[in-house]
Amino acid sequence: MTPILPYYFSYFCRCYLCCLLLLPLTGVKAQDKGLITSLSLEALVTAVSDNDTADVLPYLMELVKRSEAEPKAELAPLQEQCYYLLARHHYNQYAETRGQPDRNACFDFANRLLERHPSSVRCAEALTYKIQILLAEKQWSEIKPILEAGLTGIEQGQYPAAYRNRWLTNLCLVHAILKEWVIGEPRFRQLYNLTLIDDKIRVEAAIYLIRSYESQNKPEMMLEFIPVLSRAGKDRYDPELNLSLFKLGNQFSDKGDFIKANYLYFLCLTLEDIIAYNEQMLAEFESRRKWYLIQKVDLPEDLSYEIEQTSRYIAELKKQKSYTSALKYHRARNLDRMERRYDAFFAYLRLVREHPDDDNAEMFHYAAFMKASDIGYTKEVLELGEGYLQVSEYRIYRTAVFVKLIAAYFQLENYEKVHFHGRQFMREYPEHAYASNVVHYMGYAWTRLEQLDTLESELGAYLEAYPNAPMGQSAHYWIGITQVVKQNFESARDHFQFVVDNFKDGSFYVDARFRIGVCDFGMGNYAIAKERFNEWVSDYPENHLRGEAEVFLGDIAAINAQVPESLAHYASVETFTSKMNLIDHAYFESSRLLEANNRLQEIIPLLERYSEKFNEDGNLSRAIYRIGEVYETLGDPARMLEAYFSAIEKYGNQPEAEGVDPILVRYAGKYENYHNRYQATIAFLQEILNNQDFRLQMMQERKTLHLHRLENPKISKEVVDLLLRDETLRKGLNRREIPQTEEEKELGAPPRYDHSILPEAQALLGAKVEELQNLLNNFPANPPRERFTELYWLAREKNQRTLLLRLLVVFDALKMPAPDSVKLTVIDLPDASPATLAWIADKMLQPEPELARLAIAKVMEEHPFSLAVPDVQQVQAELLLQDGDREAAIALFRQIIEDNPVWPKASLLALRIGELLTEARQYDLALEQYQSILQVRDWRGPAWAEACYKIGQCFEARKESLKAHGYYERTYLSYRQFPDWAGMALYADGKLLEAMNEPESAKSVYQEFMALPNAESLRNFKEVKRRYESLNI
Amino acid sequence: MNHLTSKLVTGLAIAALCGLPNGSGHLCAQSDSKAAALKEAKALLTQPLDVVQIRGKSQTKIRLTGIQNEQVMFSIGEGMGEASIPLDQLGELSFRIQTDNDYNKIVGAIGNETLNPQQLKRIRERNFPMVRFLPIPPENCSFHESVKRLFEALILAKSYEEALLLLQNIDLKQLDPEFEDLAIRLSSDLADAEIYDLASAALLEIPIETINLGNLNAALKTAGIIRDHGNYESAKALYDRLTSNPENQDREAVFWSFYCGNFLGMFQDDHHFRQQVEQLKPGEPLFSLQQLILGTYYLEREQWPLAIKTISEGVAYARPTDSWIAELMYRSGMAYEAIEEKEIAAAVYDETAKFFSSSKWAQLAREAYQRLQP
Repeated sequence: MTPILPYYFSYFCRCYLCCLLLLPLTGVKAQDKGLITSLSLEALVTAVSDNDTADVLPYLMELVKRSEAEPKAELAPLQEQCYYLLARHHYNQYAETRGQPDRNACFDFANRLLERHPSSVRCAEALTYKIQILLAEKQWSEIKPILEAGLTGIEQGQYPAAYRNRWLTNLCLVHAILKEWVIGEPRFRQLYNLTLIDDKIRVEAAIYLIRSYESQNKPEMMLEFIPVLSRAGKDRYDPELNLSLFKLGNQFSDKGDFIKANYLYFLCLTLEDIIAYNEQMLAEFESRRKWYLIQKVDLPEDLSYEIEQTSRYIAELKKQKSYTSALKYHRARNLDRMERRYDAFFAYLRLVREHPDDDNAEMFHYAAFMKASDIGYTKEVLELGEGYLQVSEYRIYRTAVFVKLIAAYFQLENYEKVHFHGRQFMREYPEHAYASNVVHYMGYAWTRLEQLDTLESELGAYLEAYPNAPMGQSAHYWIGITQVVKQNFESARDHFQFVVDNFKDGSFYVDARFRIGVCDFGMGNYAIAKERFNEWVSDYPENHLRGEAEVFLGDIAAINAQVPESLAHYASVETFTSKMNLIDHAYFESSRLLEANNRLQEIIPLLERYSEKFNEDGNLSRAIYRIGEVYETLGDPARMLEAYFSAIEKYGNQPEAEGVDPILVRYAGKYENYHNRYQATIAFLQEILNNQDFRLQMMQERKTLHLHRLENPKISKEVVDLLLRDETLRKGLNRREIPQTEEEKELGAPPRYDHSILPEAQALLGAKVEELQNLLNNFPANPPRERFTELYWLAREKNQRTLLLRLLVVFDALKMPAPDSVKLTVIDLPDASPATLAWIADKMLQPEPELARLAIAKVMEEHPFSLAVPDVQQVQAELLLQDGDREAAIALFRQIIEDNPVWPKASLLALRIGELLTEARQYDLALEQYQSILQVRDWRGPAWAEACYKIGQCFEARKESLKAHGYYERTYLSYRQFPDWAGMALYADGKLLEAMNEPESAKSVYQEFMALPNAESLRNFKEVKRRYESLNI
Repeated sequence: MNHLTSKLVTGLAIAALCGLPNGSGHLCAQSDSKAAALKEAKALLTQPLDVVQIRGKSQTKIRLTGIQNEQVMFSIGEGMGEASIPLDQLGELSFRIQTDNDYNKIVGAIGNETLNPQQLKRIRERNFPMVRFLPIPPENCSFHESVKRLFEALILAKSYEEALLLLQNIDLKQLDPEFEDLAIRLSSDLADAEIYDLASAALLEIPIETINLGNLNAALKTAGIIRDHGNYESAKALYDRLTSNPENQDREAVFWSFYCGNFLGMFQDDHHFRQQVEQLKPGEPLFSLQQLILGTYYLEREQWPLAIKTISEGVAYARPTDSWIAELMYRSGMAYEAIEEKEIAAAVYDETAKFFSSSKWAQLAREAYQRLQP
């Protein structure tokens, strides 16, 4: 409402009347009606002058009455002034009391002024009184024409422009209240475009326009007002505005403009956000109130008001129906449409988490599940899939969720779950089309688990129960596969034939036809198989099995000794498949075929091509090894080393080129091996040539030569073999009896010998030395340490972090000091090869276990099929131990051994399990573990020696001395070639015998210890000696 | 509060301001006039204050000379010597300073129009001497409102050194919350103007550890301005203070402290960072901020899968009113780019640049968008 105005009769009017009437001014105070009517006009004017309107109402009324009774032009200003004053007076009264009489009177006088004095400057004010009253009364429809007339009046110059802002603001407010968004638009726009308005009003106008364009489905038009929203203050939290933003988002979405839709959805505040904002405001008010309470100062009125109003508003908001879930769903769907898959997934997931009871909860759940699957978030796929299936009311997507979930479990090799859900699906939907997929995963899983009998019986049962169901093709196919595995090719052929005959349009038809060829191959019907494969290739040249078909055709050609044909088929394999096992088969079988046909030189370019093409996915190390082997076979180890080194340089900085890691170690090993061999052999031959005694000693008895090689294993075996077998050498190097004369014979003179070297032998051996010297000269000049160091600095210069890290690993493995100190950090992980990651994990196990964990996670997540997996799992198990979870660590060690039985470190893990069980004093289990090690023939060697010794220790711990003694004895008798363990066993046995009061036996055991080769270097030598000596005293 | 320290800081800050090489005579003159105004303000602070003492219907002109030992010191008439009255015994006694129309007009103009130098001088001369009498309760005098108006006028006129001087001479804890509001506003304006020395000095005067919730939120905004200008060290120090305020019910200050620490390189090799930061569950307020901080950490450590996961979850829970949304979107673009989804990354950058055009992240997003164009 307009503030109450001052009540004075204007000076202007008074002067005017003075001049007009030329009458003296007399003060009149009389209030009596009779008296007032008797007063002259000038007396009435005098009476009202300089007085509050409220005090002189009767006089003013009398003036009105007289001026209306006798309309005279000269009285018009007086009448106009009176109307205005009376209108204003009643308006002010109404503002205070809200009384109807005042309201009517105000309207009455305002209308009289407007009608009779339309050009009066006071009309605008009178109009404003009416407007304000109608606003207060919420008479929206009544106000509109008044405001419209007012604004038209301004445009026509009837009213001052100063009223425009106010009236326009009011009119826009009325349109907004009446939700006249469409017809209000021109006025909203007019208000927004006014130059001299408060920013708050402009923001208000912008909000009206946003709502207007939403109503008019013109979303593009509202875009210009978006920046205004950031200045909207409290209005930003108006639920109606936010609902409009939501609808505008939908309008953009409907037009396919997803980016704008996304933004609009994003701008839209949820009802919960709005409530939270108001609660925050309330909290701020309450916080402020605290100060007044603490200071015992009265709470300011406006603060109390704000607290009360905000509390009430929050209560109202909480009663409103929320549009939140719909908004979130639209936003998620829109993100999905924009292919922002990760954002979309979390947007759907949010719906699942926050709106579990929504009418569309099933759809939210399914959408989140599908998106998780799309972005490969396996954990979430499993959680959401399991969650979905647990809600019995969810039926719409149940079959699809089943299949997807089973597929996810299959990918994770969690076959137990594959079968659990598969069986459930088959109970619920045995004849559903998806059953074929489900049976496929089940069959595949059983095959991988090698549970072929289960596969046959369960799938067989399904077939029996539902012989005509679509899943029949899948079931027959997998039963056929089991028969192939069992090499029952004939039976297998029948199952595949059933699929071919009955499911011509099914997804297994083509595969089944192919497998029939495989069965023929398996049955040795190579000619038929060849025909089948050729037919199949001709029918399905683009099929994914084409590569495998080429492999079979290559194998058949090789069997038939058709080398060029076979090589051609093998060569085509990589064109039709990306499966590395098939490509590997093709290349390495070609290599074998070439070797068998004495075409060694051709192997090198073949495998170099393989290394070039498949350095990341292929078996690089195998190819490079093979190339090296060929060079070795060709008698050129220097080129072998160059092949290795060049592979290191070429692929060393590719983290995925896993073959590089073992080649680095192999390079160093081979270099040392050959270098030492050449040097030792040259020295040996020169000794033969130059040292007669030595030569004769070596040549006289073959046994001496054998023993010498055993003591000097670096000497070339080939050269020793030559000396043992080559007759020219044997004759030329050995002494030769000088034939005796007859006289000498008669005299019985002792035989004499020629100790010189025969020229042929000299030449032969000299040539050998020269050949070896040449080989040595051709060898890389720098030893591996120097070469790797050079490479290290080069890698550093070129910022080849992967190679640099690899070199650090090899320096460590070869116990060489690294060229400089490098701090390993998390930044290194993306650059590290799986083997390097495993090394980092191992190195960081103690100093930075968190970094070790990250390295492990990286291998497991990004290189799950790497050769480094068992290494990192080993560290993972050690971390579990660090975390105090011994059982989990043991379980993981067992798992590693089970998954990698031929892994070189498998025996060490088995021993580690025994050690952990012993530490925990679980001797029965430890004994069982060590005994099991002795059952694995592949682990013969130090692992057996250690296991045997540790069994002795377990028995000793259990006070079973005789058994302990037995195992110690077995250790040092059976594993004497492993002096460390033999020494440990002898020492332990000696102590045991002493404790058993068997000093003599103990003495002999100690004696045996001291007789071991290099006994002085053994761990307990001093203690054994001390004990032995004390027993002798 | 260590006033000695704070004054020293301010002194240095002002000296630094005055000593700025500018090569402009006008600026030098401006600096000179500011220095003179500051000197004058300091003098005004110690001046006695002539007031009318009102008790019932009796009014007496007296001169307030100071407050010592909880006593108001005053003198009446020339050569009458000083008298005093304990602050807690003022009862119905009140002190007024007569106003005139000019002064009222100036007060009315504060906040609505820019005060001219004469108006500012007038209000400064009249109200600065009241500052030291603020211990007199507001029910016994009108000084509080007058000093508030002076404070506001100084802030609006960007007379920051004088505003800071005023702030350093009042005890915010004893005054009503509007003083605190103004102090926060001063620090915020200083931060906005990138005058960090003075902003820090102002913040030192504000009992950040005890301010009310409304001002706590305002101080958070100030810290945000400092942070946005890349002054992570100062911002972190402020956030750390804010965390100890008992009104601080959420983790916003803690999160921003982590955020600044991240940029200061404190957590690059901290493998436990995630455990320290990750305290909120999805859906809780500030969850998206938590995700932004963690996502940035993962991006810096080049842990791309974790980065995209963390940031995307943040995006899904972000609210349009979150001040960090532009950065979160920009980081989302970075994460998509890192996982080689370059088209999506470009679209996200484009969206960031278009819809958050006033944010500093828009420029970075624009550059990234351009970089990704074929």
